[in-house]
Amino acid sequence: MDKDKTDLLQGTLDMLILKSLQLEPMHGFGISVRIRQMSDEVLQVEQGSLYPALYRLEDQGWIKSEWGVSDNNRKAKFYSLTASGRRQLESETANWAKLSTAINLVLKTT
Amino acid sequence: MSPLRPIRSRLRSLFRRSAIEADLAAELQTHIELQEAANRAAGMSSQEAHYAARRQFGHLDGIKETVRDQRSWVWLEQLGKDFLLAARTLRKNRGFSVVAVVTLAIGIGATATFFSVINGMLRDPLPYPEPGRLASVWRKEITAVLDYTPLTTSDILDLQERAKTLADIGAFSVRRFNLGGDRAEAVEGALCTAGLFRTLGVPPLHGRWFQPEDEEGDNTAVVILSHQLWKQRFNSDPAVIGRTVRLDGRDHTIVGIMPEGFAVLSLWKGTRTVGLWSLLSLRRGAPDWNGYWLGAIARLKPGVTSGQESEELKAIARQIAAADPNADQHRTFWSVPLAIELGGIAALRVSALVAAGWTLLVLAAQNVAGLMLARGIGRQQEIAVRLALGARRGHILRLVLMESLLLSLMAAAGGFLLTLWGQSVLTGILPVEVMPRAGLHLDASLLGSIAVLTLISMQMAGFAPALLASKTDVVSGIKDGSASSGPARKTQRKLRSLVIGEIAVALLLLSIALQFSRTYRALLGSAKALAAEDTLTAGVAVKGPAYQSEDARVAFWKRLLEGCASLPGVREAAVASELPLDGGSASTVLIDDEVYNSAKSYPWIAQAFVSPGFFPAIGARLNQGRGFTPADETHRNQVVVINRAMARRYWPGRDPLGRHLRPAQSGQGWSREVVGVIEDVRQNAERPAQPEMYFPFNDAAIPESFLLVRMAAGVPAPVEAIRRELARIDGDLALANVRTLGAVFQSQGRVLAVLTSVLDVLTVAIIGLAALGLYGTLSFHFARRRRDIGVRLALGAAPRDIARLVFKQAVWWVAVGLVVGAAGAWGFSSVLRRVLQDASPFDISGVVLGAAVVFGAALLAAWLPARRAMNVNPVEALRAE
Repeated sequence: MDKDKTDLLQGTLDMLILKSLQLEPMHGFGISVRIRQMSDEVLQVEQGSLYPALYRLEDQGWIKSEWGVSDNNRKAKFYSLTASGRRQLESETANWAKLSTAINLVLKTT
Repeated sequence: MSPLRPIRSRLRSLFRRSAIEADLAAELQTHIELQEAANRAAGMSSQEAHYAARRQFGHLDGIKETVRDQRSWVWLEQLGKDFLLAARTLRKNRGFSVVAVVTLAIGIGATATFFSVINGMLRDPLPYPEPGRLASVWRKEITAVLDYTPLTTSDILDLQERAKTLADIGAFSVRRFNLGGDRAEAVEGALCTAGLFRTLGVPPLHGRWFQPEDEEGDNTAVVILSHQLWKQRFNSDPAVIGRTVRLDGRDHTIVGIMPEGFAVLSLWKGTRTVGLWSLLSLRRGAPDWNGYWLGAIARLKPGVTSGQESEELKAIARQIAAADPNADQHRTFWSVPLAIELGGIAALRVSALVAAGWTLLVLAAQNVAGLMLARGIGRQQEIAVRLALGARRGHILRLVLMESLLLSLMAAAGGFLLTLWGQSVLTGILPVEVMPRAGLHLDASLLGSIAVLTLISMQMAGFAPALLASKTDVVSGIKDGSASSGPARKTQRKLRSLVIGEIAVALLLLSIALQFSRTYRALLGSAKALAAEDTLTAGVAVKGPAYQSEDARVAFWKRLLEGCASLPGVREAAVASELPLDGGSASTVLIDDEVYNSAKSYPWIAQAFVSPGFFPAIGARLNQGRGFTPADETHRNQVVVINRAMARRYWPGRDPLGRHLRPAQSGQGWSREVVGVIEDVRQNAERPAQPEMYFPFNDAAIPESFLLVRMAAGVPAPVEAIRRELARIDGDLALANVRTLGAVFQSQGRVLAVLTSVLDVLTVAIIGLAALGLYGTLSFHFARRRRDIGVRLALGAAPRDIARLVFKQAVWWVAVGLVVGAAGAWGFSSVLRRVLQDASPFDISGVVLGAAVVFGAALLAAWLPARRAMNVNPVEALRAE
């Protein structure tokens, strides 16, 4: 793994995946590209973490999957948010905002 | 979201496993292709893009593995796989599996069956209302643990007056009555207090219980009949209430009839079937004031615990002792819940069977463990290969444990069937004394015990092999196999200790079983030394207004014995207050010049009053001195004959003849000279002979005594003629319980005889299992040496040499095992002797016998493999691996 890539905080990967699916259904490769783009190339999701996480989220019922055809005409499995997945994203986003504000406050205090 | 969702999805993934795997593989493939396309778009050559995509992706199978493990029910799937694999392995080794299942099933079945007997006894419901509040009360030596001394008259009265924890207390003593009428009949009955019926609380079928007024009034001659006697003698006529019957020559009023099946259950002569209860009115200062003669059952007040009651009774005993220096200073009261006492004693008697059943199970489990270990050693190569291919040790462990679980489950099913069968067999052969009143049942606790036994046997059988398997070293395991010119040293050592351990345990268990069996057999055997079959016995109760005085009873017996002696074929006619093996009375004595010391407690010594004809009538050998003569009968309280046990206890190594005995406490009244010593005659079929004293019958002329008539060999006893003799003297008296002395022994020794024969069957099974285990291990061992043997044969060894090699090794191992086992047997025997006084001493012949049997079994077990070794075809053996 590249040294300058930031390790993902435990549990934040789930949130990022949900976030990347917020607008439209996507396949696994798309999700990893999306996360990299959104993070300005900082966050690189390992496939070894991505797919287990996708299956875990599906087991939780937050995302669902179906086979479709990709932009360049390949059979791919597309993931999309479920209703409960949306709720989960909202609450995790709110939590994250609270947490990061708090941590920033702590770090800025001199 | 439904909380069931993850579970549903897991279930789904469990059943649609292959679909999901394919799904994942396709998805990952797509990912790689997309990556590849993106790489190409970024300007890589097509080959470069391909490899980069692969590289970026990482370990494909690792991802699959992680996804798979995440679906946490995967273990269940794995378990199913292990199960199938184990089942397949077991089916492939059918011989091994059958032996393992059968032996374990026998062990489980035997243990569970005997457990159900004991459990049934301990939980046998008493046939009384609120049985949990009933307790028996005894006296015991303060320092003794168990001592069933009955109570005195004053004890009962004291407890009635003082004990606040008791709702009621009843006392009784078994007696024989002459039931007069058209035809006199001797009936077993009991004297009992009015409190006994109130205590037990079973309402009468007709009439009433005894009442306090019965005790107060002048007419205490009232009687309650059992259902059996009422049916048999009074044709079940309810109108007999209020009528009178003649009991021992005195009129008694019938006041009640008890329902069918009612009995006073107690250890105090409890095995006798009582036909009637006659009111016993206890009065202070009565002649038998100080005798210990009353069995007692108490009913606790509601809410009182057994502990509180025991404490109070002990306190009362202390008060009595403190208030009256003449009261018993050495014995306190003690009390046990009736159900526990009755069940516990009976359970104790069959505990040897449970021990034997347990032995069987241990042996079976050990056999299976041995077989599995042996197989495990053989499988080390296979396991090493599995480990090398990446199997985790936990997985190997699980696999081996699964095999033993499977075996145990099948054994449990077999054991269950065996238990059902065993219960029906035992129901047929076990005497009532060692059979729960409620019978043997299939219940939850029995099923539970089978489950527990299965778990235990699985633990014992499966754990060591599993551990061995999981510890297998990959490198040496594989090397071992590749260079199998002979088993590697380590394997050899393991096998050797296995065989030696097995033989040692077999010998140990066998000698334990033999010791139990011998202890029983010795007790049974020594009972038969007497002239059992030619001697007729019958109870005669010489009671009634005409026999108040001893002289009258002496005169009666003189006439009856003369009458009997004159009958044709009669060799000897005698009277005795007790029959051999039939229990008896006891007293305490001072030896020679001993002075009574109130601080010392004197042991009870069994006693019997017998006429001169008694010793010849039972065929007891005289060891020293003489028996009784007619002259002894005319001078009262002059002489005593003792048995050998008594001579050994009081005059060890010295001549007891001419020594004296006096009654303890007073030391007054009489001083008897020891004139003879006879061979031991036991008082109880299940215990060795205790010291015993014989006094001339005329010294006491006990009313309830026994007539003994010894016939010339082969001449049938003229029972009717004897009855006529009796009727000529007194038409109110009758013979009770007419049977040969042999029948007395048999009825007393019946329980022991049955237990012994069941134990013998178990012992045979134990030997069989031990031999089977040895055979399994040895034959496996030599099967493993096939190649080695093939080489020897190829190099020119004769088949005989090979057989010798096999035998030599087997014999050497067996010898070491026997030495270890014998040491264990010796150790066990000395422990047993400390626990069980009656256990027959450790005798080397038993161990030698056991060793011979084990050795024979081992040789047999070695013979088959040896023969097979002789027939090894060297070419085949060398090629086999």
